[in-house]
Amino acid sequence: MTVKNKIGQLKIQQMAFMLVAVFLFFSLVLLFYFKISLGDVGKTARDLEIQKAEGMVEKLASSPELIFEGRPNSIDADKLMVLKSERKFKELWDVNGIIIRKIYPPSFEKEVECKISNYPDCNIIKVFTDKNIAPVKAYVALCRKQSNENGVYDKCELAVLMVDLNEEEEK
Amino acid sequence: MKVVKLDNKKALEMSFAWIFAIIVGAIIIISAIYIAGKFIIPGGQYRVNTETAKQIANAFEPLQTSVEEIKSDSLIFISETKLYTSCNLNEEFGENRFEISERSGFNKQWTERGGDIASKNYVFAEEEIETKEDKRVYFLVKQFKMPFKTADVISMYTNKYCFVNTPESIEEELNALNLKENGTNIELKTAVSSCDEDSVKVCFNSQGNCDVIVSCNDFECNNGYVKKGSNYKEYFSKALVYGAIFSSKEDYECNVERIMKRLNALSELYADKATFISGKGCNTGLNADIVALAQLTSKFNIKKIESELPVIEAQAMTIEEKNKPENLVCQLF
Repeated sequence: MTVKNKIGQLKIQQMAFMLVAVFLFFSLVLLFYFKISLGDVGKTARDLEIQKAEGMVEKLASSPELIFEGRPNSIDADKLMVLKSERKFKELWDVNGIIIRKIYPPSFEKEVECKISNYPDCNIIKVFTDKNIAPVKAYVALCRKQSNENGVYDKCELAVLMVDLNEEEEK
Repeated sequence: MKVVKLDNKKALEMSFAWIFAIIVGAIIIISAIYIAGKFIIPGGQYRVNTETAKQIANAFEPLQTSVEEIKSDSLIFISETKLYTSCNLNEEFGENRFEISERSGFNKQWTERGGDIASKNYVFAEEEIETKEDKRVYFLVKQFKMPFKTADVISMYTNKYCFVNTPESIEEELNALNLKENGTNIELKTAVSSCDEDSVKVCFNSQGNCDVIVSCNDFECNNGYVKKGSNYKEYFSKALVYGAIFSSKEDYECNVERIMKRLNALSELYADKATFISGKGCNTGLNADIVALAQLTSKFNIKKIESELPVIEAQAMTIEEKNKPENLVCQLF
């Protein structure tokens, strides 16, 4: 009678150990899954932000605030110079800054930032940012009003438009 | 002949404890996975719905018009989807917010809404829209110019629409979209009876068994009223006619206010540009008119849209006329 009870207790112990082991094993599997899943959330968020930024460059090039006299893919340099001090548009586009760099015809050997005092004898316009470069870009025509002895005309040059994403979005 | 040894059946001997452990273990694991999926895994369906809302908000960015005045597009969803749109006037320019819910799971229940995603675009839609059999959401985008491009009016809908007795100008621009090929889900008919049963009937300048009645003030339907149901009547101007047809009253009024805020900011920008380029020998003479437009838009009150929007429109037309190449050597926009 006593021997039978001992065998029963041993089997219950075996079962309990087995249950604990199986449970621990699958807990580890689940933890591993969570880790991958969490990592995936971060990656998805970054992918979506890059997707947004790429769409944003296209949008900016034809936005009413930047477009030059309704011409597609043409940025109005004169408006940009005025916009530099208008912080409210930063909130509208949800970006950290916009950088436009003239690339053709080549004008200066080094970088000359556009300010009211030197405009248009410069080659980089920075709006809401101090950075010189940003990851998302598109090629545009940078146009402005120019005057000579014959009168006023539209002058367009090739430039690259770069968008600096919001810092918290880059993380 | 081969002799089979009957006492060795090669059967797997398994004690009750083992069988019990496997069954109980399986129950525990299945419960753990279910609980994890439901409550612990970050997001779950909430995450999927939030991602989808973000993808929709991203899809609005390349929808902007440039050379074209009007364009259309559509998005296909994998499963049946509900889209919730709201609008607010927060901060300088206000925003639209979107939430998504999808049918999911074994019993195809509507899942909880994902996080709401903000967009600075002007999306005109009913507060809640649900995809139909085609699982598509349609977009009709039209430039709003007053007198310069101010915004893109993005109409978002899932229903089939039937436009009856459409004015020539609207018919032409919709036909230019190649209605069937681009899948705008809008059909143009001459009588309500020709419309599909399940379509939303939009009647221009006519009464009858219509869900939406558009009363145009002029031949080209540049402005007028859109009437929905018994107590929804809205004044529209230019591209806003589409916004008024496809959106709820709250969304329409909020987005019109947002567009006026944008117009105000743009007017101030153009006024500054006029001053800036006048120093380069480009004197537009439009400064006073643009400043007047900025003042009108800064005082805009949506409750007085019927009286205030036509005044803004008239001022915009004055500026547009003065800015034409035949009237101005150095154009402002």
